[in-house]
Amino acid sequence: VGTLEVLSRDDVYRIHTATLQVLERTGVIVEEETALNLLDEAGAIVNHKTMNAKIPPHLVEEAIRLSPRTILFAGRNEKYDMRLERGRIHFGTGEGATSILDHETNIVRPSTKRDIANAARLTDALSNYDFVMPIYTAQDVPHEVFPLHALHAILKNTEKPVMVVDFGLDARDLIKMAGVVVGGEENLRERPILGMYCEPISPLIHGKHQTRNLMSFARAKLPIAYVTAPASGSTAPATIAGAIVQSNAETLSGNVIAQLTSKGAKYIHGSCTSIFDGATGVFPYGAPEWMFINIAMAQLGRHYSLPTFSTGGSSDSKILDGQTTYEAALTLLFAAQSGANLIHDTGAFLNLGLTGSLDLLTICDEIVSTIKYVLDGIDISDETLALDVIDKVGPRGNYLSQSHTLKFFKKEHWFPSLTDRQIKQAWEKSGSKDVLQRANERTREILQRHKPTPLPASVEKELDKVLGDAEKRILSSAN
Amino acid sequence: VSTKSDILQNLATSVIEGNSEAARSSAAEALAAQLDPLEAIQNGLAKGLREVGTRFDCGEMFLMQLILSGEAMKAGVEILKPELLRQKKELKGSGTFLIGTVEGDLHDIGKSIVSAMLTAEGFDVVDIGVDIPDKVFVDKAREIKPQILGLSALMTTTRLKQKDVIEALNQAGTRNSLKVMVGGATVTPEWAKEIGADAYGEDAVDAPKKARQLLGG
Repeated sequence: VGTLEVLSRDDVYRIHTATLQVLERTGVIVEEETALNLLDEAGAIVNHKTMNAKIPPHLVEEAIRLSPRTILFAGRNEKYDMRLERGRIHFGTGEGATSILDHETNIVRPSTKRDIANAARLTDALSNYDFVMPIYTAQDVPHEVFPLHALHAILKNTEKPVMVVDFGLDARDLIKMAGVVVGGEENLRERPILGMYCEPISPLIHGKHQTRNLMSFARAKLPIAYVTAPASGSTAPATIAGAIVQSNAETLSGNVIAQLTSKGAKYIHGSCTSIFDGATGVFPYGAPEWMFINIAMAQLGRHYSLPTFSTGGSSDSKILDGQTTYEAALTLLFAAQSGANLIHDTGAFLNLGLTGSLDLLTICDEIVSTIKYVLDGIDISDETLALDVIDKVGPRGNYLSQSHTLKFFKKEHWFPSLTDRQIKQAWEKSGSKDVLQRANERTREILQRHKPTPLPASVEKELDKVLGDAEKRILSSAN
Repeated sequence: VSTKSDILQNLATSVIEGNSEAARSSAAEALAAQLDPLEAIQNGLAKGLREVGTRFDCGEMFLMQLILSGEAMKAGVEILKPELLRQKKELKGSGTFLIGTVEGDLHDIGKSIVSAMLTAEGFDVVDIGVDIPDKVFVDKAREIKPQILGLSALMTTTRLKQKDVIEALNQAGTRNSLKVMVGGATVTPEWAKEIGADAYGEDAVDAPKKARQLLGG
């Protein structure tokens, strides 16, 4: 299926050269001295006092050249391995909600470690999700070590590839934890089961923690989506083109640091650029501007032959309602049509990214199922063109009992799992339930039934120990 | 050598898989092993079809497969029928079922699927096609004296014709000599009741069940 494009070749060229100009003329702040030194040695104009680095075009181009065109992002189980390269689109959840619309009580409450575990377990079972992120911040563990607890909960509850967010924590502890699962950190090179989502600070700042963690992941050769999230109108220009240029400058300068740190660092290009909503001051997730910028950014990433990262499947609505489903469906559809390799936030958020909902995960599984079906394209062959059976049935006949029908209908047709297509009487007989009720029942049913393949007991024990040790060390140094 | 239970299982499996060829050969095997033909149908072929109906109801099988299973059942019954007649045995709850789509409605497929399932269940189905005027239904009913008349209508505009046919039967004095079943996309149980039909068939699995109930089977 064709990929949607919103930029002409000339547009791509102008955005690229504009991006190079921003980095050369304005530069970026890099709040991490070792990264600043690397940039200095490589030929950037560095002011160590202001921490500003003006990066010449050749460094940006060289970093793109050094980046892998294809990245393996592995699952604990090989059957979930993802290959990030042109034409392969994957869906996963998101990160950072502080509350959850509880699927049992229908009340919004602070999210906990158990919610992270449940979301991971649900995502493990729902077949249209390809990778797992924490969705929630656990409010019941010390905030300094929350990302470790999140990863701890996820690793125990899914075999799919895991993408984490550092939230200021030293990423080396996260890498160590993932290493336990594959029998040692050294094995992560071959089985990279952990990726990181990391945001620079807009406009044009590579913060201390983000830069350190970017460098840790670059060294470990683990996938890293270095993804900026400015709001057009406040932390990026109000023009869509200007917001794209700045976003591109922020992510590509991150890649310069990554490749200077370690050649072949597994950098993933993209942005989470929305708008500053002038009426409310919020950063909306269902914004069509974001959908638009997603498509443009994916197009740029493809132009560079880099794996790409995108966003879709969340909503600004406060409850599960019509707005939730149309915002989720539209953002997912455009993100998928952009051809991006990793689409995150699928089924993750309500309420401007603040509140999660397990039922939304279940609903988005169905939306993604339809999208994947369409993206698969039409199989054209002598047999599928069906001339023989068309002739055999002829005018007035029907295809119901043809062996051709039996052979192909299951393979060629899409089968719903949440969508209702019953005749009205049957729908009434089954309780006249709307999609939200059906999704809730499916969520409950899966959570009751699904047991992810457990980690070996020795690994689980080791994982608990690594978590405990890191927690003790971090908390004692914080006090 | 296949045991009796093997043969019954093979009959059921052939229907579940929609394999007419296997249904015929298993039926022939049943005859050769001197199985009761009625039992071969009820505990073999029909058991398979009941399983298909159950799987259809819970969304595991689809109409295309249902029809092929119906055809397999029919193929198997055809092999067993001469022996059934020779032993003067009858399938309980079956009879002649006259079926057609009402005047002004050209929709054929739903009605044909129901016909196929009724045939599979042992009814002698007389399908007189689509766009059938009221009078033709009445005349044909007089001629072949079916136990049940089935009226199919897909559209809200044509379902009114189901009512007309029932009235025509009343006027001709033949209404009480048969049962009337209605079905089709816009037909509801309430509608069936309102126009004085005896039963409503929701789909191709439900219709044979309702038909059997009407005949006390």
